[in-house]
Amino acid sequence: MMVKINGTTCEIPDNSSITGMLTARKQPLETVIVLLNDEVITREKWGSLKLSSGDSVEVVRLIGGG
Amino acid sequence: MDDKLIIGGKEIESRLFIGTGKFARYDLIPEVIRAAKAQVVTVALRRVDFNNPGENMLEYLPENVIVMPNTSGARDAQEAIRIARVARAAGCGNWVKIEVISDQKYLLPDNFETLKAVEALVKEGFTVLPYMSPDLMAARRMAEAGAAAVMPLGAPIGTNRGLKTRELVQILVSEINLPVIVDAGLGKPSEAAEAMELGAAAVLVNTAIATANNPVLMAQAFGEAVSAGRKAYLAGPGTSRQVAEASSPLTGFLRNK
Repeated sequence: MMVKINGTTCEIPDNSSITGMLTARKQPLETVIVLLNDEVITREKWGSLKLSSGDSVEVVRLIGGG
Repeated sequence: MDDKLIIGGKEIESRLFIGTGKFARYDLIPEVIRAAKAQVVTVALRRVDFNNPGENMLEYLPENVIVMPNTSGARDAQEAIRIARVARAAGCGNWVKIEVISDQKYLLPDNFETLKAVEALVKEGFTVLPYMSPDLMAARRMAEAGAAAVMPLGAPIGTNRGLKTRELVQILVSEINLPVIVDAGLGKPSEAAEAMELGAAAVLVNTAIATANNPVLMAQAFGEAVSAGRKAYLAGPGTSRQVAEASSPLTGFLRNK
C-alpha cells in the first residue's frame, strides 16, 4: 500500500505498524517522534496501530537548534 | 545577592541561555552548558533523514536544564503552533521559543505571525517566549497576549555583529514589564555584557559559542560577561560626561604656584 512518509510517497507492506515501518527504515525507536495524519502517536501504540493506505506519517526528532 | 529571574513561575539562576545548533559534536554541548552554568537551552525539531540517522539530542542535555524547543522552520503562525504542540508531545515540557521567519536573507522574525502564535499557545498553557524584532507596539501586544518574556534580536541570526538594535532594546527594557532577553546576533562576551548593562534580563547565545575555536572556553567567557553585565546594571553606572572631571582632589598640590 502507498503511504506518505516525511512528505515522500512510498510503498510499504499492508498491515504495517509504526514499529514495523520504523524498523524497516533502521530507525532507533527511542529517538524519534511520530505523527500520523498530523496527530502525535504515543510510543505504546506504535506496535498495535496499523497504517492504512493514504496515511501521512511524519517521523521527527529533536536536534540542536538556537 | 537575591537576584532571581522568574519566567513562567520558574526561578532561573543563570541569565545566559544557550542555543544548541551548529556544534561540531553533540558531546560538546554538556561541557558548554556546564562551563556557561546555563539552565535554559534551546533545541529544534526536524524531520528524520532516513539515510542519515542522527543521535538523540536529549541524551546530551543535563537533567536539570529547561529545554526550550524553538519553532524554527515555521513560516507562519499555524506552522509555529504545530511545531510547539509536537515538541510538547515529545516530552519537551511547556516552554517554547516562537520563531516565525519567512525572510530568508536576514532571517528577520515576522512579528505579526509571531503574535498570532503567542496568543494561541498561551491559551494552550505554554510558557511562550517570542523571538521578535524590537518594536515597542509589537512587544506590548505580545505582553498583553500573555508572553512570558520578549526576545528581541541584537542583530540577524548567526551574524555575530553585536547589539545593533541597542536603542530599540533599551526602549523595550524601559517600557515592557516582562523580562527582555536579547536573542541572536551577539558575537562576543563584551556584547552580551553590554546588553545586560542596559537592563536585559538575559541573553540567548548560540553561534558565537558554537563556532568559536574553543566553544567551552567561550561559553565560560559569555557566562562571566553576562554575570558582570548584570551586576553592573544592578550597581547603577555613574553618569557619562563630555569633559573631564578629576578623580583626585584639585587642592593641596605639592607645588608653589
